[in-house]
Amino acid sequence: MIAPVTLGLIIFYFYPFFRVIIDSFHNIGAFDKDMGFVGLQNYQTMVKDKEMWRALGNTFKYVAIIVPLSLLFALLIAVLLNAKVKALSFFRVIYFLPAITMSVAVSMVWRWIYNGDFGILNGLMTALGLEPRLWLSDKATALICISTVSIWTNVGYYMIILLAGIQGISKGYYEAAEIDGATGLQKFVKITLPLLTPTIFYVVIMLIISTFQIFSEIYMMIDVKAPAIKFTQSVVMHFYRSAFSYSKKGYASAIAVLLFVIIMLLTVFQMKMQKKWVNYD
Amino acid sequence: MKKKLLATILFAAMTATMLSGCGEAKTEPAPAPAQTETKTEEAAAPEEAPAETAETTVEGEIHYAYWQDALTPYLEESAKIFEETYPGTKIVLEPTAWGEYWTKLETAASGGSVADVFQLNGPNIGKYASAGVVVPIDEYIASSDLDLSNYPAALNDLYTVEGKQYGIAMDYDTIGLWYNKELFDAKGIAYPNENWTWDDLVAAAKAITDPATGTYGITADYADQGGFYNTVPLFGGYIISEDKKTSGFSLDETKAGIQCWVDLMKEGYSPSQASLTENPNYVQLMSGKVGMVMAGDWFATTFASDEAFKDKCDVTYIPMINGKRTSVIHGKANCISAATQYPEAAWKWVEFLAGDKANELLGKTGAAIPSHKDYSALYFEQFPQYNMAIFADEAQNSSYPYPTSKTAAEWGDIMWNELISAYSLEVSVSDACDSIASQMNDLLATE
Repeated sequence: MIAPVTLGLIIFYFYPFFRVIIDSFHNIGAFDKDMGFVGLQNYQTMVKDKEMWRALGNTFKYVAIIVPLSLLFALLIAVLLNAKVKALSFFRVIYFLPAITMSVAVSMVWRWIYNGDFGILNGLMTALGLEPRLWLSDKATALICISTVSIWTNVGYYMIILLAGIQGISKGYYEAAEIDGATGLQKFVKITLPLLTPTIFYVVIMLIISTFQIFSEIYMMIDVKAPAIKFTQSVVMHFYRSAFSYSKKGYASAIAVLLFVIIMLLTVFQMKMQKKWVNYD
Repeated sequence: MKKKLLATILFAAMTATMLSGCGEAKTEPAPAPAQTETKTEEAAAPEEAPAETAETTVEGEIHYAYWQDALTPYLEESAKIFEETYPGTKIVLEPTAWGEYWTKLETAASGGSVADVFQLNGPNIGKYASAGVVVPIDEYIASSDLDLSNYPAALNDLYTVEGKQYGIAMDYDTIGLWYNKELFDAKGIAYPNENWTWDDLVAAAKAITDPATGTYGITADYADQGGFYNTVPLFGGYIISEDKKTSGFSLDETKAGIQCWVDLMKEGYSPSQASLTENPNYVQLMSGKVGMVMAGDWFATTFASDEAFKDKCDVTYIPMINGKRTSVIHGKANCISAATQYPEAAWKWVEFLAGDKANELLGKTGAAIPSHKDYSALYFEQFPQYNMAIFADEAQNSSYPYPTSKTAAEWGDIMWNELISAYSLEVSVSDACDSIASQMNDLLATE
């Protein structure tokens, strides 16, 4: 029974994982032609590659914007949907829908919303007497616009996870707090939040990993010939273009390895830090 | 705790490698070819040879990859006739959107599962030919009835790499100046004509530009084939030297051919580079936002099929500069994969597409200008409302060969990567061009 799963893991995860590390030390060009072992040359190129550093900077910006805001909104909506409101399951479905919609489809729709000449966002701006903008082409707004779409897709999924966490908290705590005359806010801060820390910890780790790999939103919404591309492309986007537009597959593998190391270090750091704030009681 | 840590690291590792997985997991073309071969032999065996002997050897399933969706009706019809002519064959059409075509083609070629016959263009032929992914067809041409002089000479040259021809152009395209008549009427100025110089174009662009209504004279965003590839030679510059060893971007003449576009941008006669990446030039022309767009003949189909716009526009020659007129000429070609199981059938399909019947079909569907000179007019007849004759005249009398070399796909990327900033008015044209020249020369040295 377990054989097909293991086989899948080996073919699609373990083999590529080690292959990427090996390839990162080779010079691989168009049509996967291996021009031999080059040692650390790809890594040296990476240090000198300005686009790489800029992409890395952009990626950190995405993480700084998307992770806290996704968590905040997911938590807020989870708490709201935990209350006894009318049409509860309807709202849960509504908030969860973006999570199960293809991100490519989502990005296409948002691309039209943001469109400088025909988008409804600018229609709204004009109706309110504000200046229309070229949201996705302006380097001042493009990264924020992409982050917004990503947050919008993230919230539903993490909301469900947090909601499950909230519902796992024993009712007894709340009953005791009510007897002591605690307000709603006090109950949230003193009971819900501390007891939810294991779930929040999981959500933060997952959010950081997925945001470091942000790609499809950028790929779909920003044209490679757009002036904003340099200011919005993430490490994965740079990886993709290096491998498939510029046919530098060895170099692209080195980028993938760097991204892996960054994500691994961050995850290890978080595992170490969790003692300080995660409550497993 | 230890276990959990290990699990997390492993999980992070796997998630991180997922993204590289897509490019790396190759499927070896193991025993499949042998199987297909025997199968066809079996299938072919009972099929004796009642017809002409030349046709009985042609058999197999030919996969054909192309990117332009508008070609589908013409290709379906061609495939039907081809399959009737050669009963042992089957044509499988594989269209891919332009945005993904090259990525998909290269990945397929690397994995050994590329289509038997596929379309290539000017920037990519050098790369595919020098890597041996496509095969030379000189011998096939020599033994067939095709007469290469029926096709534009510039395109035969384009698909000749190191003295060997790798493809036959299926269509050609040249560039014209499309304009919105309504905007010219509104300002009471004469339409562009064949005597126009670049100064006339600038004057008209200025007259049409009106910040109050949000209209612009022209689109002057980054464009190679539809832009500076035409103006650079008119100023006396070049993109790449004839021996394909040096870049022309450090020349003042080349810079002038790009500067003339950036000047239009600077004066505010064109929507910004940012605006034009959100909504491309032809969309802005059709929406009545700009008066003129320099673009290829292939837009005729798009313009003519829009009820509200089709009668508002027309086309003329690219304005003259220094008393000279030119238009870069390009066309896509059908090439045969080196990995095909059925080289004979693949060639027959290429030959068929270059032949009279297919060219006639292409012209009648109005999807592109047939490359065969006897049939180009069929395409133009589809659009009697436009001055389409200029495109044929340009192709015959004033065409400029499309600049290319083995690494053209790579220096093409360098070109726009640097020039986008110049067209966005962030860096000077001269600096951008110098940067292109040095990077391009490095690349050309590796050829």
